[in-house]
Amino acid sequence: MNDNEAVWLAKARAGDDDAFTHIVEAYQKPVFSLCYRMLGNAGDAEDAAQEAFLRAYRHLNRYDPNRSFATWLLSIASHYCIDRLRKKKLPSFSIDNEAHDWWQPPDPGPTPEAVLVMDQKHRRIRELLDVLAPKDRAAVVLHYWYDYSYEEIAESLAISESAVKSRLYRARRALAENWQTQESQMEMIESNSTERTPYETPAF
Amino acid sequence: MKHQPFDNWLLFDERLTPDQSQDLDQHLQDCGHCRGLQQSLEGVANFFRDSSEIEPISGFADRWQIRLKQEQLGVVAARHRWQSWITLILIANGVSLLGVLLGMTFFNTFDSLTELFMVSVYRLTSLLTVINIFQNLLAIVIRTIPGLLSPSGWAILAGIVSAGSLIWILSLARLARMPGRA
Ligand SMILES: [Zn+2]
Repeated sequence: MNDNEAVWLAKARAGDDDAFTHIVEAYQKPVFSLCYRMLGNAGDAEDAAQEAFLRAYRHLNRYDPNRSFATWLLSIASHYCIDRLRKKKLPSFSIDNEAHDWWQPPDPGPTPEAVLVMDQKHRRIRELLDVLAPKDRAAVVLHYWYDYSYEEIAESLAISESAVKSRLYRARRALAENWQTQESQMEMIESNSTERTPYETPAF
Repeated sequence: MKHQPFDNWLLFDERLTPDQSQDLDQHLQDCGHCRGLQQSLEGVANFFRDSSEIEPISGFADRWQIRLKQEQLGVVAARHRWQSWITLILIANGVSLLGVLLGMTFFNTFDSLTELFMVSVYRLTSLLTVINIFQNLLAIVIRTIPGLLSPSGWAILAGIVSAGSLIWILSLARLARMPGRA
């Protein structure tokens, strides 16, 4: 934690909303990203990220300054997303058409091809994660995108390290199977498109 | 072909001893199933790690501040609602307690139900007598008053009262239209 952050947190604890807004600015990207990976669409991710920051602000007195603030914050966001997925019990990754509304292009602005590739990539990630149970998904997200150790994941999700290991074991098997299915589907599409002669139309 | 312990080693993703690594490499050369699993796991991990972090639409912190303000307002409103309910409950409790105390005092002054009934009948009779007296007095007044003034006098009195009412209503309407008054 840097000095600025410690000052902002101290001020926020004393009830200074503006100080906590600095924290929101500093952590919006990782928190939003986590919520997006968990929930699969930008609308839900925005709502969940906002709620996670509100919960962190409300319970700031429970935060132990000797621990990493990022871990504490991401733990709140993970728990919120897990609860939300459990309550919904719906396929959470069904909304595809809003991708262009939220995706913030890296500078300089991307070409349409780059946007398309990025959309396909995000869609594939969604489809991969979609088969996982909420807590397994959280473990995978924290492990692969945040480089969390088993110990850190255990702390964030309030489970034992052995539970993390078995969740990741189960998740990896499901992901590998899903990946293989995707690969074979893509191969099939590619071979179909190369076999078709220019005179043929897809309808016949 | 036996896939264990190689399958578990791949899925647990833990550090292997040099001997274990050698055994795994040997098995992967011979076993298509485990080779496929290893390639898929590597594919997934690389694919995940290559994908960039996703940003929210700009203005996230501003939207958060608005949400915080809304929540704080909601909390204050909820607190006021609770305070109103608590006040109402306290008043209701006070009134019921007073009612019970009064009832007890009332019943304690009478030794039996018969006595209570007798007293009630007596009070009711007295009340009816008083009403009767007032009714008679009112009849006398109604019969006397028309004789006090001539018909023209009554017309003038009615005119004065109507004009007074009209002025009163108009002044009220003007006051209500004055700026600075909701
Ligand atoms: Zn094998």
